[in-house]
Amino acid sequence: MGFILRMITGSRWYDLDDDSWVPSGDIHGDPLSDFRTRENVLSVWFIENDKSNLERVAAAYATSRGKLDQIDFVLLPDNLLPPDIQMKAVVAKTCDKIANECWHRDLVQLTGQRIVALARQFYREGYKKEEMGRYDHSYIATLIKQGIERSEIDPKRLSATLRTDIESVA
Amino acid sequence: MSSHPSTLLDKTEKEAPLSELLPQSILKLLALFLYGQGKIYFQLPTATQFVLALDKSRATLLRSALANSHWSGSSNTKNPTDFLISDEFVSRDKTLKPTAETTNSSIKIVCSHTSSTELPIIWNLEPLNEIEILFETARGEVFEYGAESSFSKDLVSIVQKYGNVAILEIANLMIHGKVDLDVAHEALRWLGRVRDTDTHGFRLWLLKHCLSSSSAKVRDGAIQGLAFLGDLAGKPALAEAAQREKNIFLRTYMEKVVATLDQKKQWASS
Repeated sequence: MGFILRMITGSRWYDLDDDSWVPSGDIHGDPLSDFRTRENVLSVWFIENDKSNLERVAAAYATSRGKLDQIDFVLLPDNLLPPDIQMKAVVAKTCDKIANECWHRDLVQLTGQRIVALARQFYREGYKKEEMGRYDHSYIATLIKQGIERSEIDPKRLSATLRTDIESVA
Repeated sequence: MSSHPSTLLDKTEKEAPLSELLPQSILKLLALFLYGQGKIYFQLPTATQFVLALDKSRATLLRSALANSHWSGSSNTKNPTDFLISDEFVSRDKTLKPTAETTNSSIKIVCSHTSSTELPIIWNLEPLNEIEILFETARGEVFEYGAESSFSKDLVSIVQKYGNVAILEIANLMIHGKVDLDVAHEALRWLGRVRDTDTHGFRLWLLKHCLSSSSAKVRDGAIQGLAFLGDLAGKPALAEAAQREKNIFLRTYMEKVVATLDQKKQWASS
């Protein structure tokens, strides 16, 4: 038992409280932008039931970016993943080797209907259950610095722009 | 009265070159408002005063910006007390009768500081077109956290190029609902990230102003911008906005940013 984490852009989600116009069983259109696939695959992360690896995953993900920025995410209990969606462990390419190997997942063979079903589950069972969060950029900088100190994150692999951004945060 | 820039200043009223009367940054603002309004009335009652009449929306913005920001413009300008703003409209020339609208929206700016810098190009009409086009063409662009967008790159470049003129025109577009909400959200985030001391005060003002927007997206962009700006002067506005925020996600985020700024204050004083 654990959670599936999807990185999102919070501004597409937190304004969804007015669903009076949304047909029953359907979902607002905006959050679908956070489920754009590449080669029919969607990248997600596995989060332990006690969320003990949540911050480490967030920091790892942030190291794959070009700029220091906040992280918004939504969590779905893994047992509520739509049954026809396949999940595979695939090594990610962040600067945290353990996170890459242990917690990254790909959702594969996604079709249009499966994507909508997935987004709907994240909305109903994640967003609506307040399993949505944000780490602001300064906290992410702190997490990355801690990751480097603990030798979890390889600083040599950080992009130059990200490194500059992190250094500029007091 | 002609609206052509070169005819706006009556030679008989020209007691001193404008460049000696006004800081360069104010001259740039005049250029912006001149173009935005299509016409403008100058009066030079004394060597250090002038009155301008402009459309209500820009007058309100300029008044608010000057009153609520630390003026960190060019080195010619020392501090915000250089400017006194009033609703009074003084017309010495009876041929320049202001309309009811311009009377209501006029601003008198008294400059106690003078400059001897060269007369800048004040009739540059580029900023308005460029800024409007930038925001218009960004509609539909999908923005991602942690990555520069072509919009954000151009925005930063425009702010660095046009300074406070750009900030005021962006404010004018945003506050009057002329900007797509996703674009406004992205713009506010990046306005907080720009490293430019000249526009710091006006950017802070705009970000604080947008905390009161009716759009949650705009408010979120403003919070993120203030978080990036990292200026303790944004804290009271954030704390106040947190108290009235109904969206629990945004309220929690505002409180976190306030706490981060508090922490910063502690570090600074320790």
